[in-house]
Amino acid sequence: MLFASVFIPDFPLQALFARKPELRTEAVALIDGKPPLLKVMAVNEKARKTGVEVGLMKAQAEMAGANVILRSPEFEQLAHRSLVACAQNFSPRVQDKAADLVVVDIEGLRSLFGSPEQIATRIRASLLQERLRVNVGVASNPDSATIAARGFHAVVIVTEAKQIGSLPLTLLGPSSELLETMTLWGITTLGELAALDARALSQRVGQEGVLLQKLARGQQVNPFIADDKELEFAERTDLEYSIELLDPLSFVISSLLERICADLEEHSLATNELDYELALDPPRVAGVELGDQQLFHRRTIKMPNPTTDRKLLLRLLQLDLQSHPPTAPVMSVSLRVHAVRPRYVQQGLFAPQTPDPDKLELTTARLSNLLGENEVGSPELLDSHRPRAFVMAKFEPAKVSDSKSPSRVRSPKIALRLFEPAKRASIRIRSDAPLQLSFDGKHGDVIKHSPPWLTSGEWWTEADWSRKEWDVQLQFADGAIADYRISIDLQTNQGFVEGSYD
Amino acid sequence: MYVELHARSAFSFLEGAALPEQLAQRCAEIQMPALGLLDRDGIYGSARMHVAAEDAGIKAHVGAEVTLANSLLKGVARDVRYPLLAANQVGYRNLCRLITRYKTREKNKGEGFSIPEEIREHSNGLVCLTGGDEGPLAAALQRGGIEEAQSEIEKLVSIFGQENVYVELQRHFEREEEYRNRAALDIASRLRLPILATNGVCYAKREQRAIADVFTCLRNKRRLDTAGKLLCRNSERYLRSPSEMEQLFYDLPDAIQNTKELSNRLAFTLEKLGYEFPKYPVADGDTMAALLRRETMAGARDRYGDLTPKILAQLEHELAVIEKLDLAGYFLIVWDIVRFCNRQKIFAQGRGSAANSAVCYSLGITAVDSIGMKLLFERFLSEERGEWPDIDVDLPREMTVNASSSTSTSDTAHAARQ
Amino acid sequence: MSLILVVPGCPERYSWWFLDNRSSSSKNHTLIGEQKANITPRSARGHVLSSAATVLRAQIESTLAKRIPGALTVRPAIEPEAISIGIPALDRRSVGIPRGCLSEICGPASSGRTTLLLSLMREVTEQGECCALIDASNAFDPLSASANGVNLARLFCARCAAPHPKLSPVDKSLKATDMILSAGGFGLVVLDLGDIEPRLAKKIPLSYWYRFRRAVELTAATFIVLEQQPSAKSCASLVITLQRNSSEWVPTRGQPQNPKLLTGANFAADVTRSRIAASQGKPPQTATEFRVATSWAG
Repeated sequence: MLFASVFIPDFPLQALFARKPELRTEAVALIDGKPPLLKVMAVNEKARKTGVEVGLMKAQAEMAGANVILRSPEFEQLAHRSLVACAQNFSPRVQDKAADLVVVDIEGLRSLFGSPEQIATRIRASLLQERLRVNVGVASNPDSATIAARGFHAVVIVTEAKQIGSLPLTLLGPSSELLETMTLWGITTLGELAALDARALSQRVGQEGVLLQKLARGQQVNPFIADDKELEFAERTDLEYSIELLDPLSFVISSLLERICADLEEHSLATNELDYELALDPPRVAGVELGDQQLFHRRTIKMPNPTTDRKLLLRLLQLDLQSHPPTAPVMSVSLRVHAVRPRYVQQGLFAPQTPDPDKLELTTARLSNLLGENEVGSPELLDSHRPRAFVMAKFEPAKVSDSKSPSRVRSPKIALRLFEPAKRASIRIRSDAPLQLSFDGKHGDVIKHSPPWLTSGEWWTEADWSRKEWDVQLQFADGAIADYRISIDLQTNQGFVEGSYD
Repeated sequence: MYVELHARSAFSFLEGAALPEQLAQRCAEIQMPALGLLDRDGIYGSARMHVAAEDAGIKAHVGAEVTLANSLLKGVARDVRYPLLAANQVGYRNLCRLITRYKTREKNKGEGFSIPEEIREHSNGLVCLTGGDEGPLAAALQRGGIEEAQSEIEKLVSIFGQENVYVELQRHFEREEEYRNRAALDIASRLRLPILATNGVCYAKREQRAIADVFTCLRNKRRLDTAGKLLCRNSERYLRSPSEMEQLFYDLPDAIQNTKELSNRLAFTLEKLGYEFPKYPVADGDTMAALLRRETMAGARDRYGDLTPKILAQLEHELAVIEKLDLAGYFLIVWDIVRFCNRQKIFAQGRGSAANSAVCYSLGITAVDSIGMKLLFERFLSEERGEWPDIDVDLPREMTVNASSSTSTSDTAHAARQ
Repeated sequence: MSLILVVPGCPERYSWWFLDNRSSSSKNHTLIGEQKANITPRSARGHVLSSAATVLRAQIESTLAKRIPGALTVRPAIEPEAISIGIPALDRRSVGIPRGCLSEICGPASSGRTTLLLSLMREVTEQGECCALIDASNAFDPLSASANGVNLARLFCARCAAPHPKLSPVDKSLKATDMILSAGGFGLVVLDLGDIEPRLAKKIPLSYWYRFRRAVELTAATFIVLEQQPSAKSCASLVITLQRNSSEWVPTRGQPQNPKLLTGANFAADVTRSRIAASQGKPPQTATEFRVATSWAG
């Protein structure tokens, strides 16, 4: 069992310097708290020399000439993420213990990275590239490793308990009472604590003392539980100024997508669902509270096949934004994809050609943009007596099964060609038979007609309908003859020409 | 002049939307002199129809739609129903026997279909119509066009006879039906068969179409929103008045005329049932009433031990009423069935209003002392009510009856199996 | 393109092999033409001469290959594969609708165009291929299609008739056609201008038709335009002109109204231009008649 504990000393300061390295050489005092009570909570060496200490008020620190900077949770988060990410590059078993501390299980990494010392050195070096100066402690249990990382500088390999003996007791984080007692006894280092009689110690200071002694003796107290890595593929960026136009927004999105796609490919995964959220900056009206709808633009794009094609995703996003543009300038962009295993489909050698799913997806999106969302797709008949009962469903040729039993030789049937919408007509009727028709400025005589046909339905809803139809042969003024289907809505008495038999 | 000869009532479960009484009343309102009630695979509604028709002053023709299995007719997606009307008592008996046969063959309640040979056996005295959407002509037309339809009708003629097949025409303002009517007319003229206009009635008034739709949902376990094309296409299957039908079939007066003629031909009604309770066999010189009295008294002594005046008085009263209404034979038959069950170790239990009868208790039909419980005999049987008594005896569902029972009880055994 | 000429010992046949380096597939030589020569004693001499001429031609062509590919070559026509229409009377008389070509189906209202189209769609979808329909007037009736056996799940529709601030339905349908043709993968693509006035359809620039034709040319797809009058001119390989001879109205009731049942119609199809047929030396065919029943008449 071998563990490496990686600790970032002076975390808030290091987090700041990692992002703003130019400040490292200056006197910096970090302040924190609720204004106006802003106090100094960390100072670097240079600032200490000028007399700025932790606990000073903001004004005092400024007066001493130090660079007074507000503590930045964002920088600290970034630093923490770097820490975790670096550790994960070495081993999948990482325990994220605190913002400034991770423990890594490095057992078995000899063949990959070398001796424990080499591993620790490499970890340190990789974090140095992120401009973070860390301490790495290696030991056979995570607690000793952590103590070493906290107590010593750079890399320390702990093989014996007495190596940590010289470290101060405060490193173990004792309670104030215990610390007081220990100080009274003259116990100030781990070594001294370790040397005490365990039983006597427990009698005098209870469980806490025993636990701390264990730590001081280099024994494990806390278990190591590797963090469950939840694979999240998300990127987010806040924009420096709000964006209104699609082109610059596309640019931002493209770079986010690049990272996400690279990430996916690294994990041999793909995505078929992408959520995007744009934080908006709508004009504020005094006294009016803005709802979630107005502050965020959230949409989801789904693909039929998992993909890592950045260009495809970008295009789909662009088309979606074109058809559903955000209602206000955009302040930040977040993208998140659902990772799935990519699908490998083997095309049958003799299978008839079907449209390529990715191209089809793009084409559908483009057509929807041009024609409208409900105007593109595969027509699906609805189970209803109501005429024109169909919807435009998603066209998914891959999912079609030839389940229909081979019908007996089907002969063609005369098709109806619809007028969409049905053309309003005025129909002259006598004894339930149509005689003449006027529609579209044309006038026709009914030469032949069928008996009336009656249909009605949905009587239990508001949309109940009832109609009478005829099939008619019309002759127009110019002599043209054609067969039509006409109808009357029995509730409104309005006549229609439904279509022609073609 | 028109008579509706193809209607169904709510006794075509979850298909007909009107009670027989509603149909009868509507007939009276529209001055229709008679009605042919053809429920699905049974004559359940015929009794109530008969009574309601009497009250309404119309004549109730008896018949049924007999289902033929779809598996026997390749290429048809649904069952085919033969509309049959009883022309005389022989026809009625045949109809009852036919239905009984295929129903007892069926394990599940409510199902069952006939086979062509069976229909042929029981065809005497029956008139067959060629049907509407569910009839044999429609099915054959769908299967193989007009040639197939014609050969199907020829088959019907061979089964029922030239005078006993009518080509049915219905007009509900549907395109496919109109095409079928044309084919039907063609066939009728080629085979020289009379045409008959009917309305394929499923409900008494237009508004009841909604009930029919709801029933369709129940039958198919759907909701109104999801039943789709299973629902009615329009509201035209109501009891049309004679004048409406005459207008609708203005071009085919024969089709209208033939309904009256056929109605006249169908002499049979439940009035002419000639129903007598079966006679219970008694020895020479003995009567059913006397036998009943003897057995009742013997049974009463078993049950009560000491026959107090109160008990005797009640028994006398009951026996007097039974005798007056000439129902001794009926009681004896039931008593015989129960005895048979007891011998065969089949559990039999009388229930319902029969429990109000001390005679039933004495005979062992019921297990409740009606006198001790102060139950009212008149709830079970009284002269004023004028109804036949109803003795329900429950038997276990799966029952294997030893077929080699003695002859005197063989009828009983068969009856018990029902 | 470069030319390799093979003249085998038997001089009756030359084979012309064209190196087709336009295509990106791994196959880069395709046998595009075979020329059979009828050898008679007389022409034998001419044959020897033409053989030298052919070699000469090959030399010229290879020199010019980079600048003018196939400079002196007549590209022989390929007999394209075709889809059968699905109406027996028509299929008997014609070769079907050619793949890789633009064809037109023309006729006035009620002339049987849509019925023919649906029959084609059924043929295509039944074989597992997909159809795309660009519907300029939203005239498509799925119920009719289903009654004709079209597998609607294999049909991709783009409906173009919704009002748009800048683009007319014809404009939208042309754009949509471009998009769909470039996506590819459909066995049949149909542009339905059947209810568009002929003068509007005729205004469509020829360049569009050329572009559409090119898009399907080297694929197995069939492109069909349905319209009232032919407008693609020379871009169309096949033009079927339809007319209605009569419709069948069968009496259902007697006087006074005399209503009738529409049970079918008789159409006539005239193949008025066929480049393929012309190249084969076949004479133009006379009109073929066919009858179609309505969906409710058996």
